[in-house]
Amino acid sequence: MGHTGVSKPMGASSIFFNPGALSFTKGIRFSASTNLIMSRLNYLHNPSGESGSANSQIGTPFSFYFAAQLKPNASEGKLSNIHLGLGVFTPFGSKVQYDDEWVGRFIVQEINLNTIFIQPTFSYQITEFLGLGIGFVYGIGNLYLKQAVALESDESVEGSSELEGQAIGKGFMGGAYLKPLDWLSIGVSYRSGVRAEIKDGKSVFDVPESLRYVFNNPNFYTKIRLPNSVSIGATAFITKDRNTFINFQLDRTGWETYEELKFEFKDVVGSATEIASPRDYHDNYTIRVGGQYSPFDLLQLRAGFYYDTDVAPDCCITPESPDSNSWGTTIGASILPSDNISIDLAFLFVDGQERSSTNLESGFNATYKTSSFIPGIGISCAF
Amino acid sequence: MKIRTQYSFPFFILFVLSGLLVSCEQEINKEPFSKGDLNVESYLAIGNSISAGVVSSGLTPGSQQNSFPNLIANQLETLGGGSFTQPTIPEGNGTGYRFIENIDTTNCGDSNISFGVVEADPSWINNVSNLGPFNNLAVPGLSINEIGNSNFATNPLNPSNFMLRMLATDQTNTSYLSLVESTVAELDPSFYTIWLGNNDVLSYAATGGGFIDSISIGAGILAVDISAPEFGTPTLTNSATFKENLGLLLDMIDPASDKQGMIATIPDIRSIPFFTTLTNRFTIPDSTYLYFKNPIDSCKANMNIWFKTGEGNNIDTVKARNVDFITLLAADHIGKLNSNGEPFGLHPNNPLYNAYVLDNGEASNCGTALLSFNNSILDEAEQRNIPVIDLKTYFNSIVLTDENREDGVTGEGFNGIKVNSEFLTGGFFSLDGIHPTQRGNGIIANKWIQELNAVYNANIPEIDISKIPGINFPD
Repeated sequence: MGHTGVSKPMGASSIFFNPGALSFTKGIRFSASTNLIMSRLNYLHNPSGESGSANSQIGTPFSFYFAAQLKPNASEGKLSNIHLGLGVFTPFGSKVQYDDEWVGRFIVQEINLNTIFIQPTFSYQITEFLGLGIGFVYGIGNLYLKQAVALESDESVEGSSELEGQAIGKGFMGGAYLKPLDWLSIGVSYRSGVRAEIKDGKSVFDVPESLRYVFNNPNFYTKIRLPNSVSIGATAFITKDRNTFINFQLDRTGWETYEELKFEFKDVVGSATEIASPRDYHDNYTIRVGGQYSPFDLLQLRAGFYYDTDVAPDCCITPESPDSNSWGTTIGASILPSDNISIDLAFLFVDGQERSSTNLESGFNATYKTSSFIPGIGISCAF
Repeated sequence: MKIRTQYSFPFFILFVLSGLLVSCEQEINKEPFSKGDLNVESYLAIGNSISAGVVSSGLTPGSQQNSFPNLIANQLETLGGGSFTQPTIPEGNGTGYRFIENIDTTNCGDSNISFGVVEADPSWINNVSNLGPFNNLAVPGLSINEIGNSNFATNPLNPSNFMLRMLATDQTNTSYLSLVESTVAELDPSFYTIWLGNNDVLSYAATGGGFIDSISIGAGILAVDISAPEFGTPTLTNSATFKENLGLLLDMIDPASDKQGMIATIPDIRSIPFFTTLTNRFTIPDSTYLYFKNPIDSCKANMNIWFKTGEGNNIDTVKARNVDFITLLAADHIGKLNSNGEPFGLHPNNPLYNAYVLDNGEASNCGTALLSFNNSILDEAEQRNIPVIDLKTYFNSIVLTDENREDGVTGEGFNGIKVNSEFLTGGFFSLDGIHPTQRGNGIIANKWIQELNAVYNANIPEIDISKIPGINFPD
């Protein structure tokens, strides 16, 4: 549904979309899903005309959500307004692998940034019309970056550098869900930024031995700031059974905090102890529209679109994450063999607009075009 | 209500399919490369050691392949450019060249870099005039001052002998101008590049203001550039001579003003590592220490450098100031003890030779000459409607601090390779501190291509400089 979900109870995955809506799901819920990310990134080095493609290797971001409505007095079988939940999911991630010999290898050969968020969540239904929720976010991030280094021992062997580290950070998420009319619901959610630090990242420099004295593989420090985000959305229910509806949603993600990528080394690396490159990102907006149609009880069909604005200014586009405005198209279906189980299939197509820029720092002038095909499968259970 | 939603379902499907179509459109449209208005049939390059491909004090078959005119010609070949003949050096070590022999650590914890010299293959000097006419007519050591000198190639003291191998054995008393004349007649070049004039300043500057008598230069260094003892004491070329000779050269290349071409300005040689690497103080520990070859017996030092100045009976010994340039040639000698135990250059009784120091006055002479020469280039080019490529300014952009970097590191990025004018680490200048590395020549070739593209509405592909060798460090 174009990844909408802030304004409608989504079962246990409301932990991710809107903790406020979690209190409108009944009983005990469980859902898990996994995606295959098949991304393709085409590049053209404009000055030389060299072109090729990088593959985002097939990754498997996953999500797992569990939510339970408390039963304060089991003998009466009455359910309380309090819901507790736990989500484990992968909100950000990028893995790009270029050919080792490609023209931009001194900027990046491979980057792998993945994050896992663990989010215990509390949700409370205040009235029939309003639910509030809050979650605590414990984030784990892993970074791996491999580049070629322009230091040679002879004409055929270049140096290389590998940086690797893990960061842990904390944040929170809050949401409110409002159902003012039978056919309309509204949701708002806020996810805080997560500041994480890699304190003792490992570096491995493969350079000519005679330069080892200035490349002694020092540990490094770097900050990873995952952005905050705000979402607001509305759902219009078309049928009485609430299985056919349309969602509208607007997200703003606070990328503005990503000003530079800076590695501070504990010792010299070449002639400096710091490697910094400017990013100067700006906030981005995503407009989403999606809907669900249920032709009969056993089947739900979904589709949606979104439009995602870029975050990197022209100065600072890098082949690590060539960013552009993009269109996303989703289709999905759920099969409900029984009242308690739903098997979900989803396909996401992301089409990034072609973008051309010269990076001010590296002088790298290239055109990029990305597209992704992301099929996913999930299962949801209710007890 | 129910009916309406049933109708909407086909719309969903249509919507989705159109989205799929959009995401299938993958290929990036290339703007086709083209030669534009540039006539690439026959390219003639006029220049000195840089255009010839001299790197690290030497010319080898490999460095010659990566001379910037040859790199440009390779790119033009993809657009129908004609063949490009160079006065090829036979396979082997060519004229010999400098290399980094070893980097080790001193007992003070600093690194100590030692250079070696690969010996020349004597066959490099064999006459190749039968391969001509040459599209790359660059001659190491050539200055605008010398282009009319018919003894230039034959002078027995000429360290280069490079031009002699380009001349037929019965025409050795040919001036460079005459060589240009016959080459133009035979090749009928459709366009040309000219980058000449650096040596009109450099031969004076590199000898500390024209003092060649006391220079002791290791093998290799002299192979193709710097000073030219056979021409007497190196002086700055007279400004009027420069302008006049340049005019003669331009008219010789394009007598009928019907060829395309481009001429480059001369970079400020005072910003190259040959002059900027050593400072006016001998300090330990210090990064510049690693270039001094005779470490004194102390791990902490902060000493003045002394040098001789003046001529004839008016010789003085003075302290180097930070406005004086100590040349890289002094690195091998500073600190050597004389019979009284006084370290060379570090004691007023054992000062550096005048030849190792371009003092403030001499440096400003160079600045004045450079300004005048570049003005002549602009003037003479304008009179003939020849486009100018401002390599002086371009070199400054490599040397000066890049404002986009907060860490103050100088230099420019090329395909993610950061280059600047630092000796050894900068990547742009080779081990003689004067000539660019082969990769540096690739950067220069790309700059020419950018300018040619702009002037001649062309879209010539640039060179992937990451494929061209830089400095080799021992493993």
